[in-house]
Amino acid sequence: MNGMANYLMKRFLSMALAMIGLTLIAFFLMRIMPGDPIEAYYQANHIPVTEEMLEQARQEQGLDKPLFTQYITWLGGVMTFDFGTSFMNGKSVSEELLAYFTVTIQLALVAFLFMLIICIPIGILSAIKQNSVFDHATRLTIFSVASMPSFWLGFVLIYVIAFKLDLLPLMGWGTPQTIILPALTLALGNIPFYIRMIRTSMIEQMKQPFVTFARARGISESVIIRKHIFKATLTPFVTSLAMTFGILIGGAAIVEMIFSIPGMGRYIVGAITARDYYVMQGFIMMIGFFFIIVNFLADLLCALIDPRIRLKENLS
Amino acid sequence: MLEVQNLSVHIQGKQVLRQVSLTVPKGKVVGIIGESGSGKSVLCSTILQLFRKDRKAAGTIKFNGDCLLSLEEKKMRSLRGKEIALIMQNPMSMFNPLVTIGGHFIETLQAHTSMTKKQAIKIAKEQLALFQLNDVDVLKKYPHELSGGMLQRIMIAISASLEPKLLLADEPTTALDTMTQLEIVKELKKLQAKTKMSILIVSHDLGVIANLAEEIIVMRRGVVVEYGPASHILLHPIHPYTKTLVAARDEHSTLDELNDKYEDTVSGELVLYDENHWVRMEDSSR
Repeated sequence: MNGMANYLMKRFLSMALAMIGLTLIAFFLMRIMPGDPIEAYYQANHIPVTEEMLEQARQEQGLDKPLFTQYITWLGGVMTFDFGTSFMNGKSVSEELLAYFTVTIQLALVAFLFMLIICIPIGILSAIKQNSVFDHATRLTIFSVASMPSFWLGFVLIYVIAFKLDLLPLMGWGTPQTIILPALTLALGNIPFYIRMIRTSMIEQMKQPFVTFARARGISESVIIRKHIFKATLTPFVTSLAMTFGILIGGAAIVEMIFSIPGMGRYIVGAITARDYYVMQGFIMMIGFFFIIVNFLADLLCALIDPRIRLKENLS
Repeated sequence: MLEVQNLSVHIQGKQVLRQVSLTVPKGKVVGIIGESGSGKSVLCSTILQLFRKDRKAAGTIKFNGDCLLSLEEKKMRSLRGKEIALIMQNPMSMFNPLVTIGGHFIETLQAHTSMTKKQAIKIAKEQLALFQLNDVDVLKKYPHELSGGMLQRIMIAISASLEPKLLLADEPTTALDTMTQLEIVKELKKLQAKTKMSILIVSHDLGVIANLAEEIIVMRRGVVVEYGPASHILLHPIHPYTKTLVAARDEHSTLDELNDKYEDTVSGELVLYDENHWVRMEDSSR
């Protein structure tokens, strides 16, 4: 297991580096935007303001200090999970973000689960029953799903399941039933890609000599599929899933709008329109951190599945 | 034991085996020699019915009274590995890189018996000891951590662990260096002497075949050219192709060079030349 410890160390270091890079981008990219944050905020919200008022606000927020000092002060806050206060309502950004984030995360997690539950069995089945009626029907269905935008799918789902059949609530948030439709809408957009991906890589793995050898040893088909073929497709699958999880959180904004869910997507769209500077920074940080951590975990999972990853990393 | 009669195999409409007949008697080692593309590997996988859907096979393959070509898949699976084992060339790609050696052992043993993991590991260790792989850690190793020679020995050990009655060895020494080749041949000899299993060994290396087989089948382009006791074939080859083959071994040239040397196509009937010695007589020589 020495290889694993080594690998972990390296991944951890690169994760730390990515996080430092993220803070730099979150801070300085925002500053490249024309005008200073205070002025931009007042302008965006059409609030008439005098130069004295601006100056006072700048002093309050510490914006009159050198840029680097500001960065260090801000970084100190980030370390203790303090992203400053919102211009809009004067509330703590981190508290507000966290409240909205938990909603979005729940939505993304359920969507993620739907994805797995739908993609894995269908992907495996269409690979095993290659060119069967089932395979062709799946292909046709997923192509039509893939060609529809997710907000439109959301409307169709609402219309059929919630409005016509009255099976689930139209919109809202809070009860377990309310999460199903939005999560499904969010998941559907990614499902075609993953079904195809599982199918393609399973078929590719089926041609591997070790599958023939397993068959020659009299191993049953179900064990071969589970232990040999599916396991070999797992590493690219897990890596892509980690990326998709980040995209799910980002993509949640549209779905949150459609289903009026009090999630982060709506909150951040509001903050961007209002040029609420600290909220935007906090949002970038939070999503970024989350993305980096999820990818770190995915890398670990892959290294656990595939021993060659641990070895390769040690050789280089 | 194993009786193949008039076996013809088509893969994607192309005929790769033509009317091949051979028998592997109980406790004997039969060798098939031929250049690559002569259909000898196809013969092995057809005996095990590994690519049923992609191949069209005609003729009969009888194993202990069962007709393998018409045997239902479930019964066929119970024969694979348990009664008829296969060891293949390129050991490096025959193991799943994500599964430990122990995992390969355990799944093979559990596919045919109801033994627990612990019992399977115990048998695996005993088997490995027989093949000078006593290093207990081997079971925890992944394929890429071992050499080709070691993997080939492990492959033989796995195949032998269920004490099959027939071992199909498809180019067991190809892709290995000369020293390792010798070791593998020695292991196979030892295993056969101990278990008295029948072996059908396929190779393009006449040295390997000569070392192991009691009967030799010479194949070329899916056709049996000559078939008889090893001593006859090696010392008094009749067919011009076999003659070139034996001569090539004495000259230490490879089969690929032989391929260039021997251009004639093989035709004519297989006739009994001597006791158990069949030769395909060219039309002109009759």
